[in-house]
Amino acid sequence: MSIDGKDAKITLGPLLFNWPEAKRRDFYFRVADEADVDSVILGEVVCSKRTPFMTKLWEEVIERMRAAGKEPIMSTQALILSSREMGWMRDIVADPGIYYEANDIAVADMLKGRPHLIGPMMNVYNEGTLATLARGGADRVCLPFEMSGETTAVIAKAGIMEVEAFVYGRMPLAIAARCYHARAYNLPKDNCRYVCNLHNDGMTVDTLEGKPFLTVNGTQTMSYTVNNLAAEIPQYLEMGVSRFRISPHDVDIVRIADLFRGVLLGRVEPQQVLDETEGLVDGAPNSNGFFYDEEGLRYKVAE
Amino acid sequence: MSTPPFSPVLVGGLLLRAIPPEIVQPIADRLARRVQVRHPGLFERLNPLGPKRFLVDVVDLPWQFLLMIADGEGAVSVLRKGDSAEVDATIRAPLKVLFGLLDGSIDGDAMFFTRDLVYEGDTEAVVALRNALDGADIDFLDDVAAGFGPLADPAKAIAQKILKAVARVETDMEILGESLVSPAVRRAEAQQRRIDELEERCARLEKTLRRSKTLPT
Amino acid sequence: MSRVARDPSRPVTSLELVCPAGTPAALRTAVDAGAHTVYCGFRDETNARNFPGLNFNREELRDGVAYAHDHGADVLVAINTFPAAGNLDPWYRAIDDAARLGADAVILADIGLVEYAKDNAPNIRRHLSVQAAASTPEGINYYANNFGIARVVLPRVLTLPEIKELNRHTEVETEVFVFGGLCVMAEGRCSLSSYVTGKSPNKTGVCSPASHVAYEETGAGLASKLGGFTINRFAQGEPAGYPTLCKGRFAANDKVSYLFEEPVSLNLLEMLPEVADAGVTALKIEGRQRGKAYVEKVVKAFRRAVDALEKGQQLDAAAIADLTEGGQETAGAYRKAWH
Repeated sequence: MSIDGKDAKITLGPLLFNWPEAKRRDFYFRVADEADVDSVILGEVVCSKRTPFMTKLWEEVIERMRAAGKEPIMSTQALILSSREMGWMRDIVADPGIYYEANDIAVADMLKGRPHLIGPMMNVYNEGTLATLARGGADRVCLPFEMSGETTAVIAKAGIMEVEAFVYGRMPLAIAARCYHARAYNLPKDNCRYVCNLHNDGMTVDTLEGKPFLTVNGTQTMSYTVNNLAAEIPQYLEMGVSRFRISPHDVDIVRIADLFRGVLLGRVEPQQVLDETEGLVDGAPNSNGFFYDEEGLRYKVAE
Repeated sequence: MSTPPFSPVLVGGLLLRAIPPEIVQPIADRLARRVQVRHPGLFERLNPLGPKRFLVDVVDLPWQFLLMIADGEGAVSVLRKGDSAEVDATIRAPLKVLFGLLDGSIDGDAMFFTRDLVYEGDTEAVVALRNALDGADIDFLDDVAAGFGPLADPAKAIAQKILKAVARVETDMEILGESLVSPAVRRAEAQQRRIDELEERCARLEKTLRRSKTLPT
Repeated sequence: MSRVARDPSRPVTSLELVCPAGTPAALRTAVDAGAHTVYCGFRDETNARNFPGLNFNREELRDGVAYAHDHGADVLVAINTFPAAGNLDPWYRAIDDAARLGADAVILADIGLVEYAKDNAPNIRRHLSVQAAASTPEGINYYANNFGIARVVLPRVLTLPEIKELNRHTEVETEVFVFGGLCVMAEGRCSLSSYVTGKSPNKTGVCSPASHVAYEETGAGLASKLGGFTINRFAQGEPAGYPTLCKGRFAANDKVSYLFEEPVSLNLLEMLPEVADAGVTALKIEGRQRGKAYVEKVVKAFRRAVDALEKGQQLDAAAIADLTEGGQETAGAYRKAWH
């Protein structure tokens, strides 16, 4: 069932980078006041070591979002390694008044019986898996980054739950127990000195030929390219995708949201979005390869 | 480049130089047919690849072998060292390593990690060939000996004796070889460390250069 | 119930050795070398070692199961990739056939497939693949409570003390990798290869597909390329590694290094007493893509070690170093210092 662009929703994904608290606060307050988004995902997804400092900030931001008429969503960790971290997850999901995103099956199971969002870090590749998760209460899914348009269409058409597509931002490609930011600075993970806060959009990794290739964000490895599916939005709407996720970067995110809203409403040409955003993040090019089941780092011009 | 090891095969190979490929060709043909008959599964595993041509360069012999696989059949053509051929992939290794790969007595990955085995070109075809050979349970001596008909067992026994003798000579030659090359190795290692340092400095410089280029003007 | 679990002659305390078989020949080699259990996959995208020239057709699996059972060993079939929506049949057939051909368990990663197996092939044991990345008792118990999984292969992100703690909070048997190639990212949650080659390990079962790998001999040595990107250069005589991105050499923070991991192999041979103490049921050897020679040597070494451990004897750290990637070994995530 195709979706009218007027009914589509925009979600601001969780901030994946380790920004200083003041910068984070300014960012979210501006989003609350100015950004044309419907939902804002908060919380720490990448590293538990960043979490303890932010609990109060999240409480403040949740209130602010509600006051601005935006849906606050709390996200959870992508890789849970210890009982201590699991305890934190249990504390986070304790508030029955908040809608949560699960990035691990253990958290999805904690949310059993309550509506919740299945995050893109969970391996949902088919309708069978989605149907199983739906029985646990999940009612929204943001599909994995490497999901092709063709497979997305099959899943959306199955009509099991609301489907969200990740349309803007660097793509998380892997998560590890090891911290590569610390490793690049010759520091042990236990004494990492939070070097991941040195790069607001992640640390660029070059090949031996000096070509920028990947981005390291603590324990997470991301694409160097910036996923941009503005041109594919009409296809997404056609197949029944109703939500579109923009991932925070150190750019004018209010403008990015406006551009994507413009595409949804048919007021902005996708090409304008591509031209305006190309190179904004560390000079990195746009990519859309995964949508076409090709190399994720490529940009393929739609026919 | 894979340099030939200082081995009995190398010394033997130098003597074999006088023998032209035409003499070796019929032996290769017979062996290829025998493998075909005795190990049909080998080619079944390679079928999904489509037709492929491999150049097998035995670094310590004066010949190379062109292995052609198509439609579940294989053929081998013997070439002189240096003869060029249109191929999908090239595999280079000493005879001992190649024999080991044929009968599965050595691990291809391990040989690759230590660089005793080098390949270029269509990597997928090489990996498939290696996996298929390893899965085929080829006993090379057995296959060769089978060609001797009723004399198969004595032939195999003689071949085993020869191989044992070769192995003994090999150990002696390794010791001799090491003593000959060790001063050169030490020198090379020192040079390598120096090159590594320079490479790192180059990479740093390139990066600085790129950054200064991308700065807003 | 697996045959091993039923075998009354084996003491409860003994560790089960689970060994790789990429071909029927390797299966027989593993069984002959002392494997308690062998794992393998069908020759298609349903398993995570979908390499050219490798794996089993249906007939080969039937014969392999017969050979293993005749020698008192079990056979597990890995069906551990994630089927893309709209094309589930090959995976359903793989589960049905593994059960029909007498395999002792299926190793699954996809939630939908685990449920399918429970409903449609209830008599075959269900193991949870490392690709499911179930790293916590809560995650594992989800699969146990909902789909009755009997065993989980633990992701290579946990330390031994963490594994010991985990085993206190779940009834599910745990299997850990003790030797071979090593994913440094959480398994089943890595799209690095996909990003560069367009082929997803999760969907097609092959990481760094050989079709996208090229080796180039240059004056400076050997360059390995994946999808056209140089991911490493090896000087003359320097040991090489697999052409996977996570074992490549890159430049970050103005320094060229093995940013993610050196080309090393996991080897816990000397740590087996600690592994046993952590309460695991089974030890897994990686390497369905490796040759019979590797299988024979590694399986024999570990079987000797497991037997020695059972009898309370000193471990003989046999020399298997030459089979490791880049000639180096590591205890990986099992030691805190690695993180």
